[in-house]
Amino acid sequence: MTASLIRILPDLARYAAKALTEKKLRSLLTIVGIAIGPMALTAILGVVQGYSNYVINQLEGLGQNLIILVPSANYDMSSSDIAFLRDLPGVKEVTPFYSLRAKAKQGVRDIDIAIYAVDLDVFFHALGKLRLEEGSLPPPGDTASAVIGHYIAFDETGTRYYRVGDVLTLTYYSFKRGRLIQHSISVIVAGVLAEFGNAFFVNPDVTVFLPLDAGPKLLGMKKWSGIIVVADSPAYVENLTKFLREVYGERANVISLIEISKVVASITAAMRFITIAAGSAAFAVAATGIAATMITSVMERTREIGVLKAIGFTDAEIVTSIILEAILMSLLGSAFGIAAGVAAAYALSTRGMVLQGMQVVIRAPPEITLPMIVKTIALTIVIGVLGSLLPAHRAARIPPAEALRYE
Amino acid sequence: MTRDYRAVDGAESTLGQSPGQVPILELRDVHKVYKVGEVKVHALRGLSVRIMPGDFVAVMGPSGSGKSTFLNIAGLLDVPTRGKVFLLGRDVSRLNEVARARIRNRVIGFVFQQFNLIPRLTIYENIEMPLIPRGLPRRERKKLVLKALREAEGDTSWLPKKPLQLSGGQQQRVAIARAIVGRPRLILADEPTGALDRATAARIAALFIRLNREEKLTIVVVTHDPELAHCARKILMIRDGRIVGAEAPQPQRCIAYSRR
Ligand SMILES: Nc1ncnc2c1ncn2[C@@H]1O[C@H](COP(=O)(O)OP(=O)(O)OP(=O)(O)O)[C@@H](O)[C@H]1O
Ligand SMILES: [Mg+2]
Repeated sequence: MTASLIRILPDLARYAAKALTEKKLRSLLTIVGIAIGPMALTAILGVVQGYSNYVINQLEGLGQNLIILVPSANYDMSSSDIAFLRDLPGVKEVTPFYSLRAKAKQGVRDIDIAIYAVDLDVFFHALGKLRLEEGSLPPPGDTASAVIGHYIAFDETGTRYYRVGDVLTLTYYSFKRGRLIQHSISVIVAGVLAEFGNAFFVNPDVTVFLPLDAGPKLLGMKKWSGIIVVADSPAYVENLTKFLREVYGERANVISLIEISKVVASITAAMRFITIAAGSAAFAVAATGIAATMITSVMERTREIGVLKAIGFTDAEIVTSIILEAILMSLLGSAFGIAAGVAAAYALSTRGMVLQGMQVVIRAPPEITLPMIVKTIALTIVIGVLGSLLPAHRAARIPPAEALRYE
Repeated sequence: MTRDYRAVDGAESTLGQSPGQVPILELRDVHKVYKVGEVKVHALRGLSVRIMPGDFVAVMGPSGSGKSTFLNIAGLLDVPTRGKVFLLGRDVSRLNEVARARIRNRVIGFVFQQFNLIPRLTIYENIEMPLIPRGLPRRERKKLVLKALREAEGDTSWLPKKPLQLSGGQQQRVAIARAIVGRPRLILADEPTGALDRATAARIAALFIRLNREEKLTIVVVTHDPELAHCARKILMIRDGRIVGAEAPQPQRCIAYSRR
């Protein structure tokens, strides 16, 4: 019985396919309705997963054992803070830093960059991923020498603007007694960084790194912008962060990159959940759409179903052909939906995600995996089967003699 | 299920053409009551009939006398409210749905007044339809389809066409091809010429006569049309859900032989 049903499955599928082509517009609309769920799932999950993987990768690359303290406006950090932090258990190194935003010339074009004045040995040691492509780190006393990011030396097309030994002019603004003052400083390129990839807090590719003393001497800054704490191991970071928050309270912001990557991971999980919930709603709508379409087509074909029964089709065979019809629509719908979803994901991700306030645009390719596609197709097929159960049941219950009288 | 069916098949071989043998179809005291809301309609009131192998029987009666109901019950499309149906000597009135479907598929071929071809399928696919549940290989199906079309006096040029591209008479020949494609023993036809003009009806009548004589098919035709009824070997009169008499047909009145 079941064996014979499986044997005739290809023929039933052929018959189901023919039934679909009879009402082309209606089938097409139903298929489009089905496609929305898989499309949304593929597009959104792909983009979210792509961004999240990217951000987490970057954060991890930026140094999992880093904690950054940024003082609030009415608190000045001093060498006593450094001494206190240095003595904490689990702390390996401590260095203050100065930072500001500036502009640099790349040919005729101005580009936005960041300037960091920091203990270069400590910083480059903590960020293992950071590599020099040319030149070397300037010695601590050489406050006019800089290591520059890859995309300051080169533009996106690979054209070179600066090499080791060149002079780079930086322009920035400061307020003095309510007046905006423009400053121009010149530094000598001592080293060029290899491409790092877009990042979160510090974007090394468009940053000029100077020795710590350049802060007061070259940039004229009196206050530290913050302190970088390097932990012995990423395992200490969480407790250290908690402890520092207690100690500093309102006086400083304590930021750890591990924490941020955890937050990003949980945001991603939440977004996935929301997407799947919204996607499920789309799937529920699709199931209703299939049910409506199939009920209509079963009703229209009442007489035909009567004929099939008279010819000797069993109820199971008729039910199967109706379900196959719905599965066929589901397969087409999920194929269109996934294709459109992949296209949409790439379109969305090339526009990038702008992180407000951090002046960072994340561009990451969407992450669309085979298991995700397989799951989406499977889900759509389940929806097709669910949507067609009622119509199929209807069709099976049609008594043949009555169906043949049906107009 | 398949086994049940073979039992029916097996009975077949013991059958002969002479009277006194097992009837191919027998209805015993069949009643059919339709309930429409509160109203009960007695469509059949104790109908009994025996159809022998090789017979060609016409059933005539006024509208509403129960002809279609009789045919539906004989063809296992409907169940009697009371009474028994025997096919090839076996009681089939209490079989389950799957077994009934299998018997409809292998033992019976239906021909309807409105042809009932499936419009979106080609003529080939329409004729092939009864072979699908049997799971026959494609090549064998093709052989049977061509054979049935030939026997139904159809033309192979119709095969790729859709039913609505054919005339009524051509469609009815396709429907007959579909009815005989599975080599059934019994053809049940409900007003097969009811939707056809006279000349076309004559061709269909001639086709039935030939199928009965040459292919040894047992045929039961329900009709209003005396000119078709007189083509049969026997005419049964039905009234108020009962067989009320039999008539000897007058071949000269058969539409297939009359010239006009
Ligand atoms: N499914 C049904 N539900 C209710 N009543 C029915 C049903 N089928 C048939 N009847 C009734 O049963 C009676 C017999 O109907 P049937 O169709 O068998 O007659 P018939 O002899 O074929 O008539 P006709 O020559 O008009 O086709 C009629 O009164 C009809 O209204
Ligand atoms: Mg009738």
